[in-house]
Amino acid sequence: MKHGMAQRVDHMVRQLVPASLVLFLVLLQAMPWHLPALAGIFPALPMIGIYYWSVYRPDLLVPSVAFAAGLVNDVVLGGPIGLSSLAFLVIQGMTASQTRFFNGKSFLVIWSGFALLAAGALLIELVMGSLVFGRTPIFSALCIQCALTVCLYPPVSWLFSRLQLFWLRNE
Amino acid sequence: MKQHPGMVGRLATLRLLAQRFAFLALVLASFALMLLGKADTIVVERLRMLIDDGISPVLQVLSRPASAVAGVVNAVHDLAALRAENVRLAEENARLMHWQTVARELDNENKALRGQLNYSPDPDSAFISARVIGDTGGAFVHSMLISAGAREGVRKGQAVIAGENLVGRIAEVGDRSARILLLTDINSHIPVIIEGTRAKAILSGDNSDRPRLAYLSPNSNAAVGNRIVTSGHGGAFPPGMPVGVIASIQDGIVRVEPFVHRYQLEYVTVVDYGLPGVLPSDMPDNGK
Repeated sequence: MKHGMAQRVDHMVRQLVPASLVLFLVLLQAMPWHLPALAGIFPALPMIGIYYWSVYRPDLLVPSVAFAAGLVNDVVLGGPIGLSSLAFLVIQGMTASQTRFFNGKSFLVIWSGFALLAAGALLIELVMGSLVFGRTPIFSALCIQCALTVCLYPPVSWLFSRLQLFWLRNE
Repeated sequence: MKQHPGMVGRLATLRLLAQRFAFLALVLASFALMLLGKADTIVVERLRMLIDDGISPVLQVLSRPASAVAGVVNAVHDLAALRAENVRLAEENARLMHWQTVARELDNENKALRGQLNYSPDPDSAFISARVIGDTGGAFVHSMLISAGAREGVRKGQAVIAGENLVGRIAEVGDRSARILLLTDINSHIPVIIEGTRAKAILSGDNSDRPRLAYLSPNSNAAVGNRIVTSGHGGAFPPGMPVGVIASIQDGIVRVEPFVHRYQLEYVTVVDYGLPGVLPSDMPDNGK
């Protein structure tokens, strides 16, 4: 009985790995990096986490996780609340609906998928942010942010794949 | 405990339905939150500061290695430029020594004149120093999180400086963290004057690196290189705090390069000027 309980707790903790990693990316993004080149523009790291886990573990990265991560992201960034939730939900929803397509595809295809979705999500943020809040961010800054995010996908996803092997292999 | 097979079936159907509608419901919830946030209710601000307070200890721990890494990068940078920097500093020191003499003379003269006029001095300011624990490079907002809040005496509307230079003002206050609205944010409007000509203006951010001077009278003779300081109008900021220099004048739009760059900020000082700020929402807080 005790063994079963420990196993269940272990199982539950492992199930929380994707959500925790996305939350970690949110915090990483909010840290003061003291880098002149990144002042004002920082890659949307959490989007990488949302996409990666939606592709590889759609059972663990459910809509509620994307929504909650977006909420925390908006609060931490000090931006309009609900904006990132919507963007993350779009990434999660689009990816989860294409699980069959992503199954067994090469890294390049999956990376291209991310580039498309990240650009789409940032565009949604731009349009909604301007429509609802009248805050028009500088378009070129948004483009640089998108490019940085897409460029960072390979290293972050590689790290995630290692962690996935380590923590979620037996799941 | 045996479950009825019919009930299990019904539960499974319910779960499937819930899953299908969860996505739609959450998308709608996002829109609802946006509208709620637009109304700018107190609920949203409370929620913000609650979450900020919750994560501020984590950010505080995380910000230390980040500043250590930045320190190493800076050290390497500084080593490379050591000789040139030394020459520049020696020149600057000679110039500053001259200014020090002038300042001493002016200070004495000022004191004497104030004595003659029975001048009532500006209220003394109190200072609260805090570490920057979050620098959020969002495309929509230019803000920073600091590790001091209501517990330390930080209030909404107070000025935030680094060294002598203005950084921004406090926009939201939690129990142990607060959010600075930087000069460059689109919601930042600060009463300033051009130091040389004493022409008044409002420094308005527009989410670019260089905020612009609004409501500047056309015959103010603003020129590139003029220093901009706070005017003290509105009572929120002490007068005479350095803000930046005029960087460009194009088609009547005057842009200011702030003295402080956000990436340099590790510690900042919150200035309690002792006067209620320009924000009306401050009043109930001050009465507490």
